[in-house]
Amino acid sequence: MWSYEKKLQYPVNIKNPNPKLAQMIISQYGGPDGELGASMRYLSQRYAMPYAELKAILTDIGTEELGHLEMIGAIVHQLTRNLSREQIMNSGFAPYYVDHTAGIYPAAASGVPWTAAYMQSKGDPITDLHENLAAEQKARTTYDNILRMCDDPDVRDPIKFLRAREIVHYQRFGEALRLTTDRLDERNFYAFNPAFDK
Amino acid sequence: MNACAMDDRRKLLMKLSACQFAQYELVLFLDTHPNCAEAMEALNMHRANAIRLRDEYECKYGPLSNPKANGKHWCWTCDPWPWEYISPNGGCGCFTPSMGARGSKGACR
Repeated sequence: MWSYEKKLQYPVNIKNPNPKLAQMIISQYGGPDGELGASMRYLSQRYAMPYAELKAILTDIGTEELGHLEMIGAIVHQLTRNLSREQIMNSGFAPYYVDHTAGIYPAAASGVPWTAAYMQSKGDPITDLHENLAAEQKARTTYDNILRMCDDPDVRDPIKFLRAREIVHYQRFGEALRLTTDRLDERNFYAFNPAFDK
Repeated sequence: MNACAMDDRRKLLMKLSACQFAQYELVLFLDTHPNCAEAMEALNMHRANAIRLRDEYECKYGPLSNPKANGKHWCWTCDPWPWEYISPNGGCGCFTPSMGARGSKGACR
């Protein structure tokens, strides 16, 4: 069960619409390393986790990712408000506009719609934690790529916040992996599935 | 709501958000360090501060969660929603402090 808070985790208030930027940032909503995939990945992986700390960290990071999804939605929404025909035509936003107007739709910057193939839930704690460590770094790389192309401080500020969170999550998943291996026989960490093989 | 009041609203929301952020951080840390008494103590302190700031915010500017929306007027439906741009000179919704977060002025502390 979740309850909603009528606030963002970190504020988003963007003065100047910029559809070109929106076209790139939508990738962190529904792209291969975006926040929708992150939240679905962690919240789905929880069920097969055998250890209490792992159930907790996946629940809490997965929940935070839902808040990040909302922040990205807010950024794209504010970057695409009150657009003129010229802005749409000259920004590269036209293909998205034709399909979704200024609605928020989970797709990659390249236009590919979100797919569950972007995430994995393997039912094996070590496998899943490695997936998550990679996912956090891929998201951090994507935020770095966005920051290289973005000059607007109103946009950079929340993006930098989200980038920093990827690094903290990586740290916590690293600790979760250590907590897992601490419980196992070091001679065969990678030779069996601790959630299934008894 | 005028620009000045909007600025106060934003400042208070930021204070609450900072306090909640400290909580999120400590929660994640405690997930992987469940026996850290220092982190637990810090979490309790931030929790107490967040309750106080949240009460103050909801009293002045309206409910942050729908269980807090009660009284005569269903103020959950009031703007602004979190994803909306708020211009520097206001542009805020229908909630006014006189309604009170709980539907009456008297409920405000």
